[in-house]
Amino acid sequence: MKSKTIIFTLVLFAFMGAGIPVKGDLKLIEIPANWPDPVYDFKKNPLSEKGIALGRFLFYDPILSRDSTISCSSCHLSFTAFTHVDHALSHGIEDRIGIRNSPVLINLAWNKSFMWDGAVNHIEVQPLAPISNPLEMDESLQQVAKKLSKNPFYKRLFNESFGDNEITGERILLALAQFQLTLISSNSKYDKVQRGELEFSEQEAKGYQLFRASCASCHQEPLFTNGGFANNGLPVDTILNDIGRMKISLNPSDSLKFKVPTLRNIEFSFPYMHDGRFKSLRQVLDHYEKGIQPHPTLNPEMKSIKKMSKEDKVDLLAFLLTLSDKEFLFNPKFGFPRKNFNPSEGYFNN
Amino acid sequence: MRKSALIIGVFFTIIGLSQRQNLIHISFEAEWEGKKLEDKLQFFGKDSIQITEFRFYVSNFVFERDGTGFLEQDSYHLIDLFVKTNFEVQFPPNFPFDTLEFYLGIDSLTNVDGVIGGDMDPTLGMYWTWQSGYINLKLEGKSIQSPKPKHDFQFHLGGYLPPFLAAQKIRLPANSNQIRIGFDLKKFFEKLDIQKTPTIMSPGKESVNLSKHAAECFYIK
Repeated sequence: MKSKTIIFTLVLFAFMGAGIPVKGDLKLIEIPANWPDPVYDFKKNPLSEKGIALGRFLFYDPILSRDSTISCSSCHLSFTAFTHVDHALSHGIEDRIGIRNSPVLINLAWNKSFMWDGAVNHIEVQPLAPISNPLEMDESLQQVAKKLSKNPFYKRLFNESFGDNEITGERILLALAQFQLTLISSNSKYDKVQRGELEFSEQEAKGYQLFRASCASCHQEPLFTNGGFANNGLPVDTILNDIGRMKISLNPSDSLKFKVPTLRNIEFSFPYMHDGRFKSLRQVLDHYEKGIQPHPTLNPEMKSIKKMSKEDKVDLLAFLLTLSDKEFLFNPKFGFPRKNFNPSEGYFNN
Repeated sequence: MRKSALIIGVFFTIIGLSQRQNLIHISFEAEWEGKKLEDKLQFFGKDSIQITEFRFYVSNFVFERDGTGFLEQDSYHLIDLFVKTNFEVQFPPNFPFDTLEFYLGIDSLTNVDGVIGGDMDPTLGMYWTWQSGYINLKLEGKSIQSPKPKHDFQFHLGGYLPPFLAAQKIRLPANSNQIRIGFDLKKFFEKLDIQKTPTIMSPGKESVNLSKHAAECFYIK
């Protein structure tokens, strides 16, 4: 019976010309050469300047939270690779503390899943989680749509982006996705070396070799993540008792596995790990050297991490710093839209 | 051989679609031994069951006969038994069918396809927020059997990740332009132990099992 339905669907799709993969309008962003194809289907939500601008206003507007105090940028600051610098666990409205470290927002068009446990399967539906979480924005998307619909500034912006001024949950999420999809970091020293524009120092080059030997199977180039989940041997925090991916898959073989984060801009995205337990990269390297806890789901690669001398660690750190991309971190297109900031007449105006 | 017949069948129905339209009217109602669910303060059965919310998605409608079928495009409908119980399907004329097939819930592929508007808009309360996925069926109410505060019970059924796929395929005999589909409340609640399981709020084995049972409670009126 199942095959019958599949045939129906396939025939229908072929007939309509749908299902043909097209990258869509990518003029507004730059897909770096030699990178894999983005996971995101730009055809369904073609980027537009207006759409990206609307998404950026929404990203920076605390109207998304119940008491209009917290915006996306409260925990995802552009200057720190879009994470909450110096906060192991981020705070939401009324200083409520969440259970995980806010992840960086970098190269999201290549992300196969979102959140530390992969609870969210698509960038468009990701904002539902922080908006609705009582520890974060404690609001509903329905209420956000209602609030925005009373705001002439947003009515105009939705009209410009979608052809009429109706403000729906779908449109809010599509606009937020548009802005976040533009957050591409591909101009670090590492990238420039790959493109033949710069050369690594001797120390960085040594560090790169060490990285390739011990880290690159999970933190795969060029995205510096394989998009998977892994137990990297962290001792369990007995207060948070976070089982990670297993909460979503309900599969015991996923116990204590968390998403492999990108290492791009790692210099700026401290503290580290899903609960922000390590304040410095040195602590992270110390963990991989002597902190790994045995566990049935421990990633097998953890057992083969090569012993590093003091000098090796310095070299590896030097390499990791080449993943910093100042053009990304200080890109004015990603920052707070201050030109339109007008707190006396709603948060943004004009 | 059967497959190629199918393909040709679908092809011709689409050609047919572009010419003249017919409408098939599909409506849903829930009943307890002939007593129709109409408002939120009704009592049913010996456990004084009251239903305060009953919403579900039906999707992927196929009208079939002899291995040929017509597939509704963008076939997703949110039914709310207290608000909106019916919808119409545009249909090619002169296409006889004897079987109706649809899903109770939203299929896995649609669940990983990002945001969709209309009946699928995530503001409608039928999408989980802490994790991705549509809530296929939401049934809430009160029963004296429930140990929860105010004797509340809540069933939010869904889940698209294997092995806990909650969407259920339903096949019913149907051949007219007016299709009335019933949901047998008595049959549904008879199998439940509300005292033991007053709430199901996330995907998993319980959600799948109750979804299967719910699918068996639909019938043609």
